Amino acid sequence: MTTTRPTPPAPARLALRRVLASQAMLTAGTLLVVMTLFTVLFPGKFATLYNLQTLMVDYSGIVLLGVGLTFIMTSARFDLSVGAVLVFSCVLGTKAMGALGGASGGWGVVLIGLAVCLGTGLLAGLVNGLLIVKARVPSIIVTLGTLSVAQGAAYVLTGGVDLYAVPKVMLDHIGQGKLLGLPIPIVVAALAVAIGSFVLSQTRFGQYTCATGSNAEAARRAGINIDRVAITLYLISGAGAGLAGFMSLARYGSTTLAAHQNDNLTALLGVVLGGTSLFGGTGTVVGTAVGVFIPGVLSNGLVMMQVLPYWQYIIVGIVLIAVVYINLVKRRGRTEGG
Amino acid sequence: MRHLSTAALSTLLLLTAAQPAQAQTAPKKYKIALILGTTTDNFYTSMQCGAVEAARKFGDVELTVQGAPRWDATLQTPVVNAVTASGAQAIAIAVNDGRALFAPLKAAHDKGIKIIGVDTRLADSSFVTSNISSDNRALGAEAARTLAKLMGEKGTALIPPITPGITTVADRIQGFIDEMKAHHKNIRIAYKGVSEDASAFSAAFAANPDITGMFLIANNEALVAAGAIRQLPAARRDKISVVSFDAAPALVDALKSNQIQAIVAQKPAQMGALAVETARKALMGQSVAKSIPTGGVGLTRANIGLPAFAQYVYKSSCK
Repeated sequence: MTTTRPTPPAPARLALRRVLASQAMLTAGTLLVVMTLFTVLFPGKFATLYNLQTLMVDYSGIVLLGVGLTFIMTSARFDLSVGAVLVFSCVLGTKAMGALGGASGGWGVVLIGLAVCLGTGLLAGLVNGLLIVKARVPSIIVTLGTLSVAQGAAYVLTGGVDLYAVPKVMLDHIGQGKLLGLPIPIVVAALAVAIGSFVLSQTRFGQYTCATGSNAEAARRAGINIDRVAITLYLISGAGAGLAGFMSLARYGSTTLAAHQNDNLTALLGVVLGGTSLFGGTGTVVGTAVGVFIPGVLSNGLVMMQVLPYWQYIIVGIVLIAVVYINLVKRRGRTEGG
Repeated sequence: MRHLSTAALSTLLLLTAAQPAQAQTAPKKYKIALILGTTTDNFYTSMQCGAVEAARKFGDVELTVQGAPRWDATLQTPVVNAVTASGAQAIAIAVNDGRALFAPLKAAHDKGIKIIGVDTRLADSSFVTSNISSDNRALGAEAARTLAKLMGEKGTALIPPITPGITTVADRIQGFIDEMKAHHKNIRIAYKGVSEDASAFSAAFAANPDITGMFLIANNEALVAAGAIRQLPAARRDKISVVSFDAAPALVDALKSNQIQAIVAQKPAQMGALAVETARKALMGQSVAKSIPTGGVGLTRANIGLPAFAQYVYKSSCK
């Protein structure tokens, strides 16, 4: 096995400068400023274990979607279907668990529910990937289509009425459960970020992803099977949506048909804030995880300020444009400076 | 190397998290939070007005009103969590989902916060101090009786498509259908679908030329449907009787101009006022009723001019 990775002759000083200049750092800095502000404004309220934990739990599902989306967008593609696939996997998962005992079901039933949710996500990912690769329909169109199909299928299968046949053990021990003092949804999201980050930054598959994103034709000529890479990417994204669906069921105990409509965009926002290029080629999973929390922290603080959440949209929009603009200016400066 | 920044960030996060909560000074006011179903519906605007008015009258209530702009349990949950963290003593809430909101509200309750259901309710409300709501099934049945009378006890009635997953609306429709099937057998119910698409109304009119009655189940749907009815040729439009739910100002205008013949109005302002009153009582240690029903009012063109009825028109702002 030959490693084709170029080893940059970067001295530590240069690497440090790159970290400081990176957008992930800019995003982390923005988040820190906002958090410090709210900590000062609301002493004993914002910076409490309760608030920060519930905040992280509330956005853990978005992080799961964001990990998959980071891969997709690094490869210069889109996935608009994850929010709908999430709800659809909730529906199939609940149907399966309902048939096997519902609320009184044990861990076996929960495991089957997990398998069904993940399977649904993977299937949706496979359909997305195959259509994009084989039929050569642009990813934004394919996933817009599967978004609609998944949403419609969720309504058809439920008759538009939420299902609640979720085992109690799943609600108590996964949705509300803790591991080493940390809520399980946070643990799951952190694991997904760790694995996703490792795969994207340290493995050959991760390199292939970046390569297809920065120049698909060059990657193909270099011998990368870009079709297989694309399908794998959509499988990852689908699995993320399926897992997010399972965790949503564990938290809400409901198929939440009317919910999750914003999730796709919120996750996309986190990905972009986190430094993944809209044009592909570069991306970091950790940046996404940080980026997701900017809108989360802003809306949390605005509720504490007793502002109706309309302002949150305006502020998040301004922050998004500002962060990406500053990053572009920096990048331009770097290119001009050699 | 990028992980360095994250490590630093998470350390800071943990540091801030570890900072002990400051001791609160003894509150002179009752801190009550009202969390609306959505912030974009006149029904909840009226509820807010009623609550604000009540808080002003009591003088010792610090009321905060919050909510998400859309009916979405996953958007309402972070609002509940933030309100809980911000030191409210009581939360009155129109839950977006009877079960999905259980965990965050239970957590709030476990922190010593009194929980009161307004309009909608939790499926398991064992820890909830009080529930204040309309009987949606009864009001749905009332709408059926009114419409049947307007239609002369015969013909085809249309139920518009609904946004899925909203239990109060589902109850209304169930109450309507049960009443029609039980007591008005000559009326056929034409369409019950799931869609948010406005054009579905026009399509339903095209597909069912014999429609002579409509039941509109809530503000937003009714406004869309009213638009679709207006587009019909006058000869056909005049044959259609409409009973609508919720007295948004735009719908009352439609009632006055005879596009709608009857409105079943709920009493959201009363709900809001009762929410504040009940929360305050509970915080003072007084006993409160576990369930507080608020009724409905039938509005028609004949009575809408009378102050006794006009007061039930929903508000688009509190002024």
